[in-house]
Amino acid sequence: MDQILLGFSDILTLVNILYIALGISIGIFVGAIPGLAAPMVMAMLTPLTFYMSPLAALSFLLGMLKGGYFGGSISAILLNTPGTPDAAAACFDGYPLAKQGKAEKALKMSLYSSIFGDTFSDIILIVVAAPIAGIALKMGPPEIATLIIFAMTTMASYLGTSFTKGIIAAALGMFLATVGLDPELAQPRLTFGFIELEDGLPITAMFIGILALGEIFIQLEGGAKAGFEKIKLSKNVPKEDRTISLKEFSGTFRTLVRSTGIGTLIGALPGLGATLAAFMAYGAAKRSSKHPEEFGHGSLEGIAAAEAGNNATCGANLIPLFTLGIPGNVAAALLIGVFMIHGVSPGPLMFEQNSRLIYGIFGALLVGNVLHLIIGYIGLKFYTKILDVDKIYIYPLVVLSCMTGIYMENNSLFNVGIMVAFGWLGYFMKKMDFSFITFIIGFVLAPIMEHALNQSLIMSGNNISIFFKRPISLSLLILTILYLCQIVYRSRKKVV
Amino acid sequence: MGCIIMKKADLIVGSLLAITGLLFLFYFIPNQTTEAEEYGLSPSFFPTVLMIIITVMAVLLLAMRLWRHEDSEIQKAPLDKQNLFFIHGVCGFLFFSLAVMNYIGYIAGGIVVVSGAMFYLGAKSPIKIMLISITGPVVFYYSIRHFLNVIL
Repeated sequence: MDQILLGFSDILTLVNILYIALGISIGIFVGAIPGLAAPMVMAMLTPLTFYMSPLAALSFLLGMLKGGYFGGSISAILLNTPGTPDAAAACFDGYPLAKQGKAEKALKMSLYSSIFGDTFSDIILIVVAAPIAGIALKMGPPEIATLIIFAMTTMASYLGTSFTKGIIAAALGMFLATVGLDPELAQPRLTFGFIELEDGLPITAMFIGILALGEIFIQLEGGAKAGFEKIKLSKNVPKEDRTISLKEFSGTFRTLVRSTGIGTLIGALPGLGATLAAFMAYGAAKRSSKHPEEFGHGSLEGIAAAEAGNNATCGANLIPLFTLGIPGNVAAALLIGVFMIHGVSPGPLMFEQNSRLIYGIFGALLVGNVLHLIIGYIGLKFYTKILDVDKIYIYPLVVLSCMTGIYMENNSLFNVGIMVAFGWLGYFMKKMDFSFITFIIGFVLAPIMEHALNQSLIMSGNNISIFFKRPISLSLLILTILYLCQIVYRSRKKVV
Repeated sequence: MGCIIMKKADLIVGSLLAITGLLFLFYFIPNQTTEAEEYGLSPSFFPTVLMIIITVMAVLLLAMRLWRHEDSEIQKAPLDKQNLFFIHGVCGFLFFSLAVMNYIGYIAGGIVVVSGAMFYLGAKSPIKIMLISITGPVVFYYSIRHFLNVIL
């Protein structure tokens, strides 16, 4: 209990609160710009977190993630172009409502729904994480290895359109993570004589290269095309068209609860993502609505469903990370990187070894929702002005900040070169539909998997039957095989 | 025609991956890893298994693309010559700016990056290009030096 109280009290310091607020502001700012997303900026600003305490660093990045989800809906509502893929469902009703002169109403509904969904899923995370972590502690190296195999197999099929390409991406990410010193013998492995590679391929260079630079290359390719037609917020609009009344909010309450439940469940499952949650929540809301004909024409319920659904994945995505050490999405994979940079091993042992930090993070999530509401509400008109800034000014500075972030780590231009190389790879992966998310998760999980495999074989005296003798490990292997059979069956059915 | 284009791209990628996989399996991994120990995994085990998976899946991708009937959906070519010129040009430009950073300094390299990108994106006003390409790197340099005590 004292660790819980200490953790929560740690977050209630001015410095940490300011970091959360800064993270949220940056997240909303970036999320509102089509083409830039919160995980990209989280990757870019990860080097800055070296100079922060672990709690401040994680709070800052989590704030950015929260802000990014809402930020994506700003351009969805005002430009009919989602700032982030998970905000696409907000376009269906947000933009039509904005065209009716009720843009501010739409934005406020989006904000309130985002906070509702996010808060609920954070509470679920806080309640279930410790018990699940307790169960996960009973898992040994064989279970961890087979769990990672199962997780990567399922994610390879969910993320991207081709299972084959997903597996290639996952294996490639894991392979590149083996560059460096062998973990058991500390001998150089696949370094090709470069001393700089003995510490492995730098994880922040990989994140920024694949996530940020790869995406920017794709955005830059088209040049600075003409801007979008933007709906402006007008002052000459009746008050009822600029605000959400209590009656209107309570009218969407059932939708909010349903959408939040859907988002939380989907968020807790690795690999499914906020975009799926938003669309499933929207679909469920439309089917259950008394006025389904209003959907697609400016329905507040539609906005509420989409935004509560996608934001509810925010806290839920951290459940597999904290309980099993497995990131369920890109943001969680980034957080693993930050944990490792600050010397914390993510996973169920965190509740024993770093419980104060964990509860501090929980506190940051809850405080973040309050700050998100305040910052989003007060800064609404300011954030909409971001869409007036030309790409010509933003993208060059973003590229420079990517290079600066990596250079700052250890004044190594070699690492900046590695980042550019990963940007090149990220560009081709996105163009050829190889899942870069699976690649990143594979890169992050590879050292854990290799360590677990090694420990398992040492435990069993080099006998692989250990994976088949332990019930959880065997069950996971059987599930993986059944899952693969299901994929093969489905693909054969498609061919016929 | 669109399907054939995407199919061709997958065939090329699958072939490249399969060839690279075989190269790594038979040449690079054995030369770049040390001998196995008596217990636990050999240093080459994990990279070898992963490269086998990549090679096998690349061959599977090739096989699927060669023998499966295409669906009726037209798929736009993911890459053309213009894309290839663009990406290699951009990467070459960034490596050039790294060389400028290395031999002249961070601010000079930053000016090259920002002005080059703005010029590519179609910025027309030389004053705006100069202003932003100089201000950006200078602000980054002095902010990081002042607030984080890091000299770039």
